[in-house]
Amino acid sequence: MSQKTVLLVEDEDNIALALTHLIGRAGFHLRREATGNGALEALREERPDLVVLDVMLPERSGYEICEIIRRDPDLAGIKVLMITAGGGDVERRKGLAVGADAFMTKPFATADLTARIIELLGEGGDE
Amino acid sequence: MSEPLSRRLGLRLRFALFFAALGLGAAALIVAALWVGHARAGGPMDGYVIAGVLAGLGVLSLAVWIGLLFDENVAKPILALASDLTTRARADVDLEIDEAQAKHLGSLAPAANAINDALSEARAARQRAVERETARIAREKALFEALFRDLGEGAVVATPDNRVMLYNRMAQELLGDIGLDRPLSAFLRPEPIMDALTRVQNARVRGEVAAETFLAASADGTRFLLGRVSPILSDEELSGHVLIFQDATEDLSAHARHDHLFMSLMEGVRRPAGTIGALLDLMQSDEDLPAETREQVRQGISDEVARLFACLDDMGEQHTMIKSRRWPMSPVAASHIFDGIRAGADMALTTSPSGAMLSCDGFAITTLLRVLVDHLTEEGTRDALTLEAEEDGAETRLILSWQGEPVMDGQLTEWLKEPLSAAYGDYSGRDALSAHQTDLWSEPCSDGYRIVLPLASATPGLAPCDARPEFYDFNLPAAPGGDLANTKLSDLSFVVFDTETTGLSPRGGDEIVQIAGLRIVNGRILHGETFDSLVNPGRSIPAASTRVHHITEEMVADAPDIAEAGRRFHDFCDGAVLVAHNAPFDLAFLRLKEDVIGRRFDNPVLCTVLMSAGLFDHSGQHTLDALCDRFGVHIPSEARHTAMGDAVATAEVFIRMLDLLEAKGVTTLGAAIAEEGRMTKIRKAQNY
Repeated sequence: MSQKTVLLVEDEDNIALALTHLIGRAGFHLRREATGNGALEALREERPDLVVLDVMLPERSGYEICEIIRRDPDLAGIKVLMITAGGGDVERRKGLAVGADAFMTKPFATADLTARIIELLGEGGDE
Repeated sequence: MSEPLSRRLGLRLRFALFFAALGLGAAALIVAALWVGHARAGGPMDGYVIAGVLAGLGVLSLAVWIGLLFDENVAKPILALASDLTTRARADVDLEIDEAQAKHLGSLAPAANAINDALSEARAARQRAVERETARIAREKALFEALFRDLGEGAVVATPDNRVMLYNRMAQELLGDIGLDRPLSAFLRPEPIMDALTRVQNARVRGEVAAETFLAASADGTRFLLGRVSPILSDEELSGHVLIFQDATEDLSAHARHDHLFMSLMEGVRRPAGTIGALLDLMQSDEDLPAETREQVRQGISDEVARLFACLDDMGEQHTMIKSRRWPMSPVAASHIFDGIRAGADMALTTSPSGAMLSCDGFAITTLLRVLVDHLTEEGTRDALTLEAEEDGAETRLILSWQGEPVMDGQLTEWLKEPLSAAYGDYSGRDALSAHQTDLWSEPCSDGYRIVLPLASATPGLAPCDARPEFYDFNLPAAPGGDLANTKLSDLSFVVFDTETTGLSPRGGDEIVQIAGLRIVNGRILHGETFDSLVNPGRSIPAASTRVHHITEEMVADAPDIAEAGRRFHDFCDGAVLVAHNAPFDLAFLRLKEDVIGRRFDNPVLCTVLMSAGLFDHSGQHTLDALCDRFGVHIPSEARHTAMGDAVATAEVFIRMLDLLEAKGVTTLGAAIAEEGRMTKIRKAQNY
């Protein structure tokens, strides 16, 4: 399986629609979850290579999901890219402190997001 | 009406007259009786005469003897007793009255002693009451002083005619060179306060005594102060008013910046949003746009989106720059927060000593961390809790680390939802974090986990305690009227000053290099209200002069020039009589610079040299050292020939000479100046 998988955890449908298409077009296999607990289930069902994680989620915060990923040896090595609509330096620092690999503040150009994903997953789609 | 005979003649004389009358009366009766006897019975005359002489002498001797006894044992003791009682009535004498001296007066002496005892007891009781009351007043005074001095808000008490009777350190911080007896209008734009006072007055007429708020700019317009003014009433009489205020400059400007930011944000979003809407409408309305137009529309949308994003980025950045202070933050020592947490914790908690200062609500942060400590330890799965502060420029991070089980963000979120303290109502830990514009998180560290809480660093607050002992005077004299000459010396305020110069010739091009002065108000030297400034003379300082005052050219290189220093000194002298040792010399330098300074030094002037010449032997020494010796004023040798050291010495000498002038009957400024004039001729012969 050479195609890398991305899990998008985002509760806002419109941006999810756009991101699903755009990330998919960049050559990744993409699934989307809308809640914190849903995301945890999806993570254990099928391990993705990268999670695009919104901070504000129903049930569990993006911070907590990131902490869980970082503490679970089965989930080791998963890249985490956190996104948030709340601006502020403290949020960024908190995101990076709990283990995110990158942090982006909305609004961002979708091209920047896909570029960031590609950068985090290394060149192309092979392991 | 003449005085009664009994009072004109002394007691002893009256007794003597009484016994003389008794003796002479008895003798006369004997003579008369013998006369009658002889007339009736007849017989030789000689026998009657001998009997008469013997009986008369006997009776007179008896009268003299008893009279003397009476004088010794009754009259003298009565006088002694009366004198003792009078003394005790008029002065504080606690000695017992000697009862032996009045042993023939029956119970009079013991009765006098009983009165004496009662009097002593009453006096002792009164003395104790006075001491108790004095101690109570001293305690209240100390409490009051501490309260006002360290109040977090500026506090000023003003007389009804708006002169400063009291100020605290914060008021000094906010208003600069505030001083006792100075008009309030020198520090604050008075109109808003006058307006508030009028409202206070109107409320008083309606029978309400309440504070009124005001917002006033400082006199130089650089600060805005928000405060309350309330009247001080004693016996229905207005004896002044209290102003309590805080700095609103930052709040106001932060508010203005927020408004500005919001308006820019609206504009920055509206334009691209409108354009994007229009372009999308265009794309949807006509599917058959030419390829070139489609491309333009697409480009247009992406341009506008980029613009929108740029605007949001920019606004976000600007917003973080604006530190609004909606929650009361004050400088708090990290170590105090740690102490507070440790005091409430059930388990051992290590704290690393820290000198860090935080700008925060100390109680909220202490309580918040205590809640976290309690939750972290409630299951017994974590130990070795440690608190420390990491200083990092404008930010100081509080770190709570432990060994054992990690904590998840979800748990932290739950804990932070709890109300912080009954004292804060529903206010939660999360609310406290938002108010501090921060957040906290947990992360792994070298030997366990830690919670990080970034907070703003604080600049240290007011200096622990600068020597400002004279920050109030509730007995300020009334403001001098128009005629200063007739104003009592004790009602005037003085500025005693001294200058150091490049040389002795003001007209020969010598210049001032230092000015120092201090104020005397209501007979007290205000050691806290001083003026001390080096002055750049704009020329070289001869080495000979530097040897005297130790001021070098390097020291004055960055000092203000005479125009600026002179203006500030002129402000300092406002409303005061100028005093200097050999004042004509110092004033000659200042007056030659009046055009440059742009002010006139037309204050009345007193010279301690002339005062000394008037008070003491003309031909004697009137140097500052000689005067200090005369009055027992000690100047430390390192302070001698510094402007401030000499000004302090002159002030000490001056207030002592004021007392002497008063004793001589010179009580007004006019009289003191006339007294000096008398000495002016002599002055020429003096060696300063």
